[in-house]
Amino acid sequence: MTTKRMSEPDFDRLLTAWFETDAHVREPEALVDDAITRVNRSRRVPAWLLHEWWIPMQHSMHLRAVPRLAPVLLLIALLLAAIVAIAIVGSRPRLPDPFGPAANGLVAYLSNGQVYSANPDGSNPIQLTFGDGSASTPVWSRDGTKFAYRLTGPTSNPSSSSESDLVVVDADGTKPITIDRGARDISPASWSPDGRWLVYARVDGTNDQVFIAAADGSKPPVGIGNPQTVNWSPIFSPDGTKIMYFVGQEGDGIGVMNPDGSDWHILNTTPFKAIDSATWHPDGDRIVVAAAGATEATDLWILHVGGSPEQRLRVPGQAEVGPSWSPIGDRLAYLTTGDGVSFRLHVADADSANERLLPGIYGHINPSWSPDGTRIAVVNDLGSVVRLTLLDPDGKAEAIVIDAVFAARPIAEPVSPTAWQRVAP
Amino acid sequence: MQRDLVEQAMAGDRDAFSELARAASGRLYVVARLILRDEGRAEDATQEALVAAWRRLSGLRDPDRFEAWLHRLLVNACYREARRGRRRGSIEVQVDPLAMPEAPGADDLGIDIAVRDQLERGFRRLDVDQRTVLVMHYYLGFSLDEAAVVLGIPPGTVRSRLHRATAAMRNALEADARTTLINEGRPA
Repeated sequence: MTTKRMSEPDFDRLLTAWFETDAHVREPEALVDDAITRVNRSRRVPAWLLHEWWIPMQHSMHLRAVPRLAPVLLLIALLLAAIVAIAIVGSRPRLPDPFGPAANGLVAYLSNGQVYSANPDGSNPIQLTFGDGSASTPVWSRDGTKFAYRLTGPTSNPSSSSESDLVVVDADGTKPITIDRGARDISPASWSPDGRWLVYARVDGTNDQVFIAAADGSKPPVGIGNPQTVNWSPIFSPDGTKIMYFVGQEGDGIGVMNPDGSDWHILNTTPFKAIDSATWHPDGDRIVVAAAGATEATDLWILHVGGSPEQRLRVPGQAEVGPSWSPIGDRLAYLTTGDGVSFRLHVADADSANERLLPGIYGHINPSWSPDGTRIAVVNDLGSVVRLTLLDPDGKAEAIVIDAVFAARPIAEPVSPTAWQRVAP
Repeated sequence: MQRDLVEQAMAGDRDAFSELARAASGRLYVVARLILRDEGRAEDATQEALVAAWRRLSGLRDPDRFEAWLHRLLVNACYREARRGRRRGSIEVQVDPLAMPEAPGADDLGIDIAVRDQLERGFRRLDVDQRTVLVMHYYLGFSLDEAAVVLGIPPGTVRSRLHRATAAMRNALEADARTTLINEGRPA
């Protein structure tokens, strides 16, 4: 005798009915209240830091499809790398100083979850990362010989968009070293000037904390700073002796600490309502912050590391965001907006005097100076075509406009000038 | 209405988000419980998903996709809870839906108690990937393509997971039926 096999429609109906039966439960009474309490203690992650912002949900399913050309391209890349290696053998490569002006190297950008580099005019695109997972937020080391990036997908939870690895590779995409694995909401890494250390934020328990790790993978990540506060977006100072970071759920303050996590303190005397972005002056003595005071829209503030009270650069009015110092610190580029959607680019002196409006309308992706200070990269992602524009800060030379295919965005790293590879003059 | 709330929440309005969370939490909890088969873990996963939704809302490009996006966050949270459970070495707690005040009798839906037990045992043997596609397809009513978008995996992968999962559930039913026959002294 054999058991009778149920027909497929009957089996489908049985499963549906079983789930229906099982689904008649009440949620625990405190569930949503507890969740909202936790929400009120949580900060928003900026859009540009999110994997799904770079790769929209309906497209991310295609990410794990390995291009057929990938092995061929990898082979070609390896061949080219070998030729270059042979050409330079016996000579030491010249490297730029870790801060101050440098010559312009390549621009990194993302396309379909992989990191590419290209010349600043968009020519000679080269795929630098391959394989499963989705790469994002690549950040060049200060000498341009390596970059660190976030890799989402392959090792932890393939369907999770918030768990990622932090990976370091050589500038040609080879020699990957996994620095952190399966961590949640990894922020872009910041390199120490000597290239030995990386700082970044990730969720530790329920909130973001700052971690430091050896860039060669020889020392595991260690949490640093005050564990009682929410801390994120850490950036090494130009001389590497301090780390700046955001503190609080929305960014109540800008904190500074030593690389070993000691001497942490908040620079601003009055808490901010929310911080948009902040970056070190090349001299390392001050920080420009785009932040909202208690009631105002976002303005630019200068915070002095030596302890002087903060100073507001821009009077309340339209919102200013995304400030970026020129490589020698004599000028500031920043965006302004009236509607929160479209942004205009301005360049001014370091104290915000002599402001000049540059042409064009852009998205909320912070401007980035070229290492030699002759161009500002700014992005328009408002339409169906993502467009990178390289503007002359003096408004004299013609703008270079590069159209990118869908999902290709240059890495206009909002908190430090990392979009552009720095190379020796 | 919901689109307005989503847009307000995307702009940072916590009250709008709270309203969205209250509207969605019950359904999310049910889905998490169906996948995880554990009330405590389902509660944790639901809270985790709601907090993640708030944190990551600025990355949502299309407010009309809020529901699907929320389901993806919930599934991710369920994966994490399942892994956490494995690391803790914890034992899943049997939940008896018939003990719930709103549960209809199993007979109302034409399912024999013994069959329900067989389905429960079979379902618990599945991994979380397979449980998830079963719940999305048979409970939430997602097509394979819709499930693929929500899970961020190719439709072919959803299809194969669903195939393996339903085959395993069938085997569980048939194996239990054979065991019953053997125990009753009748050869299968």
